[in-house]
Amino acid sequence: MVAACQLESVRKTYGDGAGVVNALEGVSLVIQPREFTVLAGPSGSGKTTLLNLIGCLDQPSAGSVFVDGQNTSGMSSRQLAALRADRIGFVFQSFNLVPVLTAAENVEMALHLSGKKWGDVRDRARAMLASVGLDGMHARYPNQLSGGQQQRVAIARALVKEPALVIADEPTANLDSHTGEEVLALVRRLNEEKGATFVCSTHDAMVMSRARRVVTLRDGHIVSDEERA
Amino acid sequence: MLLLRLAMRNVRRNVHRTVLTAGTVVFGTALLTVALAWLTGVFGTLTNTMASFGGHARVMTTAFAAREELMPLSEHLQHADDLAAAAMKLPGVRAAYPRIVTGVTLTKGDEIGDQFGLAVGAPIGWYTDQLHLGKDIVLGTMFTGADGETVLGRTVAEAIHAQVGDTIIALGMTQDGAMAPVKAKVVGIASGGNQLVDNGIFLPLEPLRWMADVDDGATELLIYGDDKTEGKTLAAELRADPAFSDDVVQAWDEQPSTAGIVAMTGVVNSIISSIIVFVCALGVWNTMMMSVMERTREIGVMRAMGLTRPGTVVLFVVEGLFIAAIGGAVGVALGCIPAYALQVYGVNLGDKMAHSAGVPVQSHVYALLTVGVVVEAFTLGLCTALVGTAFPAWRAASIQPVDAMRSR
Repeated sequence: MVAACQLESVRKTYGDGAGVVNALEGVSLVIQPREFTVLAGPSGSGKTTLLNLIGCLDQPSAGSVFVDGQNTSGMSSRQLAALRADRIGFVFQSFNLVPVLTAAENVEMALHLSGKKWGDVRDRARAMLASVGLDGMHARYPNQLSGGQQQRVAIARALVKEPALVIADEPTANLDSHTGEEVLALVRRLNEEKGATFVCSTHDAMVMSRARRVVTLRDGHIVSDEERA
Repeated sequence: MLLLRLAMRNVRRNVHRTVLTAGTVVFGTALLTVALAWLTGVFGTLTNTMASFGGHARVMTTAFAAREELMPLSEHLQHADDLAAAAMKLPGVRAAYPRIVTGVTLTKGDEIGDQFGLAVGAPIGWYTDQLHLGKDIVLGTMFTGADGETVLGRTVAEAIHAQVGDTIIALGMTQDGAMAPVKAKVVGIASGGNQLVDNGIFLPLEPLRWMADVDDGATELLIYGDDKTEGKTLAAELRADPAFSDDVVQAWDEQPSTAGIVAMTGVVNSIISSIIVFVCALGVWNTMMMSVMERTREIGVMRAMGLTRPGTVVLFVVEGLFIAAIGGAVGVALGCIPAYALQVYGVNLGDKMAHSAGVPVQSHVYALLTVGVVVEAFTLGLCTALVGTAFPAWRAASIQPVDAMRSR
């Protein structure tokens, strides 16, 4: 089986000379399809850098990153954009919905940008919104939705194109604990029902407690990689 | 389609900024409408006057063309009436007139004249149908067809204190250089508001032929079609005709005196339009740049989701064009009001300015509001948006998606 994501001896540095910062040093990691993996660690440990590399938003200084079997090293920005559009979904901490588009249009946008033909885009977007518990709210604009509802739209937007990988950057950080638990339950359900592969970064102990696998980073190194029941 | 919808919605996103951007385009397009109508009117009248006076196309001998500024009578076209008849057989030629233009000194009565002027000798039909001299007569009448008549331009008449009914003597030379006088009675005084008419000494063709001793010759043959835009076509036909194979043929805008003005028209038009477009584009650039900076994170997220650089550029350009289309339509409508007023009432520059211009500009000039002016102003309004949006759109397309992941 092709790994959803595989990193081989990845190193990422910022700056040069005396001011060089080693954000990641020799990180190797394999994430299998359908996994729900959490990247944990203190601020500055390299979680976001690792997430950016897995999400093809950035490229490593050394080593290789494979996404859905494709080596992203040496890909042009256009090729990376095409890979992200087709195979990777994003969920952001602050939702980042387009405020002038309705919930349904925000979801439709992911389908339009994916570069594939999806048949009836509108019906597909509405069905996806229904599956995240937003049936009947497709015509609402982001400012007419609560934070939890906006994050559900963001999750629908990430999943509607059936990506190989969903990158979630602290998805519950801007939500209260109750709403955060609901969103997390939704993510877990979609992980199981739709077989989507999730990689989340978080500080939230509640998120870590729900994960099947927790990869902990410190100072750019993986210090633990735990499988949980 | 979703990108287009998104661009349209972004227009309504910040109403104040959109109004500011559209206002810039409204101002620019209105200004362009007035400026273009004014230039079209002024230069249109100028070139029409020159084409009427000099013919849509003109034929002369090669030797005359080489020393035209000296107007050498000895290098005249022989059998000019036969050439005119040959020209009339060509398709598109509506009229052909032999003409003589030569320098003379003017005398009123028995006094020895010291007033120099250019005497024009042409068939009466040329004066009535091409120069439309009849409408410029301010005292007396047009030629009646009787022998020995002349019409003087107002400036010339004032210089020699000539009045209608006076007899004047135009002292010129034959083609061989001998002195030759022509006596004529002033039947009319003309003022066309431009130096071509006001400085003119107008005579029928035959007296000047007699004075120049050229029998049926003329210094030039003026050819007219339906419109001055046919000048080059007429010139090409004449050049292809064996009857004119030894002569020089020029369309009105190829003649040295007019070619510079036609070129200047284009240059002035371009400079004024470019300045207005550039200044207004700065306004559009400013507000669109604000929009890009406010939406950096949103653009980054869309780029992370796969929006390409060209797609990002299209997003902002469509937004800018949409604002420009609305602003341009309003601007053209507003600009048409003063442009129409200038077309109806015009502006009086005064004879002094008109006569010192060096070109036959009218003393009272009018704008000309045409469909072409409206379309050009609106199109340039859209260009304003394109120019003003280009850099902000490029800036937006340069946003790296990784910035969106870092933003909180």
